[in-house]
Amino acid sequence: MSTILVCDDDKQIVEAIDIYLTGEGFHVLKAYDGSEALKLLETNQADLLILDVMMPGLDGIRTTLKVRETSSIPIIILSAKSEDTDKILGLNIGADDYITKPFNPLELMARVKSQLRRYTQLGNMTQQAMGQVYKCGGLQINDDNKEVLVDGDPIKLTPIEYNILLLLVKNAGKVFSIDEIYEQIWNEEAIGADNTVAVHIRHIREKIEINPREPRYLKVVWGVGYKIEKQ
Amino acid sequence: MKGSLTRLLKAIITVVHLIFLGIIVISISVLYVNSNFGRGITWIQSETYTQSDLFYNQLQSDIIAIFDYARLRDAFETDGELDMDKEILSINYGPNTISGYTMTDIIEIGESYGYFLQEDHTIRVITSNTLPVEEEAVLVEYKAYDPEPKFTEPGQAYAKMKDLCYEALSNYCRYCYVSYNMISSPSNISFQLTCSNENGMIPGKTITYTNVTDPSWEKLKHMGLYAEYSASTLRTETNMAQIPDYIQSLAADTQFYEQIFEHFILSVDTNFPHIDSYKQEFSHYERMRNYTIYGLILLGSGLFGCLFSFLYLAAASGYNNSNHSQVHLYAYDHMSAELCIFMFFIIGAICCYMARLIGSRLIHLVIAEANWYFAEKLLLFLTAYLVFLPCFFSLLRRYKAGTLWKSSWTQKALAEIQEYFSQEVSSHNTAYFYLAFVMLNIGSASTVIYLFFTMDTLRQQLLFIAVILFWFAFDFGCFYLVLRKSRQNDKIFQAIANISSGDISYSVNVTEFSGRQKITADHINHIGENLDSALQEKVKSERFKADLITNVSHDLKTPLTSIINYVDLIKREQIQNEKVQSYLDVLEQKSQRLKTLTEDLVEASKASSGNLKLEISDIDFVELVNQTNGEFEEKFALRNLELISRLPQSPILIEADGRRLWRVLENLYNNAFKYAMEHSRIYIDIEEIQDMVQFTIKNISENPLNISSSELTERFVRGDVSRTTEGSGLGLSIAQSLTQLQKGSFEIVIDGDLFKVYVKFPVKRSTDTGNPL
Repeated sequence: MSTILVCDDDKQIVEAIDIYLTGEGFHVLKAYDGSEALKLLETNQADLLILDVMMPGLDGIRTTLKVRETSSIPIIILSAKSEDTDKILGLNIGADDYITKPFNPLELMARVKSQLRRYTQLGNMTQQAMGQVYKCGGLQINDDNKEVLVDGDPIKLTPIEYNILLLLVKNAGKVFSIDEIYEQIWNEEAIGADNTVAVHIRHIREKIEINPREPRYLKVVWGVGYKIEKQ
Repeated sequence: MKGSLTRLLKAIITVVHLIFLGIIVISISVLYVNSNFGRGITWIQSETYTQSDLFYNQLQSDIIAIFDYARLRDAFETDGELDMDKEILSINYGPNTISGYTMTDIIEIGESYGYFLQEDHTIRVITSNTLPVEEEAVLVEYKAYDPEPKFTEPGQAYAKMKDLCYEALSNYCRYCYVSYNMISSPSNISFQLTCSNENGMIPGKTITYTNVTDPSWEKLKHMGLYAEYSASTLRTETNMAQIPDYIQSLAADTQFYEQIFEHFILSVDTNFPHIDSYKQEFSHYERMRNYTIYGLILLGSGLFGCLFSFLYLAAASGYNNSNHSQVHLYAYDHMSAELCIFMFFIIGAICCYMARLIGSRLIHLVIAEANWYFAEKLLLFLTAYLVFLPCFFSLLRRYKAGTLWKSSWTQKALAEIQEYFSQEVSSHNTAYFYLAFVMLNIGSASTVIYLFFTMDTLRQQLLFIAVILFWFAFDFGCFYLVLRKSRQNDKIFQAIANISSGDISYSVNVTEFSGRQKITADHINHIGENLDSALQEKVKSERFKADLITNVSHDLKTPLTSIINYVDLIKREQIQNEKVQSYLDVLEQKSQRLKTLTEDLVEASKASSGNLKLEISDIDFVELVNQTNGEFEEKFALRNLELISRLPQSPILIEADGRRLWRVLENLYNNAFKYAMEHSRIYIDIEEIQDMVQFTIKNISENPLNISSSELTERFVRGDVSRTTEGSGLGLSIAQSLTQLQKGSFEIVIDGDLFKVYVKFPVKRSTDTGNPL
């Protein structure tokens, strides 16, 4: 049973998130500005923090900085600011995820669970070091039993999808063009590349990502190729 | 009605003016013809006839005549009677040949010389046409009117007979003047001249010359004016305004026949009871005095009337009604002022000539010769005035209408000159400059040729060299001027070219320019500055707009979050009511639509204002399209759309921001997905055309596209007017803006139901391999 601190100056939003989280079986703490959230964190044990950015008094960015001074609990920023710069700023100062308003409640739940799994299972994962295991953030591939785990949950992939993902994870950070992926996976020369690879990539994204439009692991480098973000 | 009344009034006033003008003419004539002309007007008040110079002149001549009478009486009279047979003159023609002449003889001889005695005792001289015979002087033996001649030179005793005759006749006339006018006939003047005989030495033996029988002087004195002079007192006693001092000198000269002046008294009866020259002069004087007074009154009233009628006409001229709102101009009021003046000048000249030709003839018929000159002058003046009058009123009307200056040639000439000097017209300048250049060159050339053939002296040779030097210097100067202007023009051209190509902050250095070019350079700098500030203003306002939209959209998102969340929560309540479920569907759909709208709104405003940070890198356009195809293949399959793409095998590199370009393609694909007819095909092509790569997407629209392609990219315009489907209507607009931001071109072509979009980017030709990475 995890405790989640929700902080937003809009009470109705806090209420709605409370309903969703309680429905999922979480214990919820509610705060309506940054300083209130910090006080609650001092007296209570929280496993995750959902934080709005634009709040009166102490805003989300400064609250995150304060929390990070003492704690490493996952922080999900929930903001109406959807600019790239805002997201980059939020993630750089120590937030683990950034969700823009208006958000999909299911996506929020999924991201909360994902962050919690990674946070709680971080310890025992390190102990499972056996065989050919590739890890990238919450993504884990065990090449021995061809098992793919996302935040600890097993994912079902087709052989081609698995091979593509394995290729990318093995070379995390490297960008593969469609032709390169095709040649490596199908072992044939790519004559007149078509969208086969792109379709597969899309399928993989739909399976391993919470929001395929904003992928965390398998990123599209538009006009160049695909890569797994090195974490 | 009112207008005709005003016209009538004006006509009457004009007639009145002419009448008064006539009065002036008459009064001037009266004053001019008057014998008192030239005396001013003060005499009218202060003077009577007996005080006038006229009277005193008459008196003086009469007194002189009285003294002459006293001298001459004994020469012509015998025993108190005029004796025509008395010997007046005796001439010595030689030894013992002495001829005596009586008055009768002298009158006869005088007539032979052309001297005729008149009724009024004056001599009329008639010069004969025959040549006068040269006459010898004769020796005068005795003259009765000059019995004791005093000769200072020997020749004085000789005289010509003709002169002697005239002398005797004039003395006779002097005698007769007093004898007839004052003594024989009654006279207004009474006199008595008393002389004593020196020779006799007997006291009381006096000779008296008088025209009064009973001289009761006290009575005479009271009848009017008198003057009395006595040798004993040596002073003139008188009540006259002008003291007749000359009596004294006359009395001093009076020593004839041994007579010595004793006493003279004279009185004038100022009632003038007798008809004589005084009476005549008096009545003439009075008449002239009255004429002068009437003339002055007439002149005054004439001038007054003329002035006032003129002022009225001047005030009323040009106006046809009483409210003076509009100036009515006659046809000749529209010609230029100078032409009008010139025309009237010509008319005036003709009229004056005609007046002189015809008028003077009439004057000569009617008026005495003495006044011809005056009358002709008056006529000319009148004619000139009558011509001047309409000219003046014409000019006055122009002045009132405000066209006097505007329509004048002077104004036009001045404007022309001003325009030339303000250098508004470049072509004029060039033309004049060229003319001056050509003329000076021709002049110089002809001078040089002339001097070359006549060059003799050193001075001419030096002049020849000087002219040649001047010629070259002048031509070089002109060349320099033209060159300098051309260079300045080049600079101006360069500046305009720079500004027109977008470098609006470009400015020219004004100090390098001169004259017209300087003004142009100034203007160019102003244009640049204005453009620059306008552009900055525009950028500023666009940024402000983008910021505003961003802020508004942020503020919209927070309540929208609650709406979406609570709609979702309601749905989770599993309400078993179909109506509620359908309502919830609507709410969910619309709130999602609102969400995309707010997001697209920000993006559209940023893309169209260029307020975006681009991350430009080399990307493979073919790869990008392949990736996009992969993203959309399954989505298209949902609506049974077949994606047919013809892509080149080799990569095509372009410089673009991959994510933004993906957004462009995503919007285009989404557009095709939403609006393409079900079960139709969507064609994707990439072609390389010269240095450009062209991406084409084609689909058949489900709904008829009764909309222009340019309208499609305008924000919030969509192919379906009903706007029921999802989407913000900003997709194509965003795609176009983003394409243009990345220096690509975006074109929509609608051909019936066929919807085509062309996106073009310049191909990047790298020197190394075409491999992207």
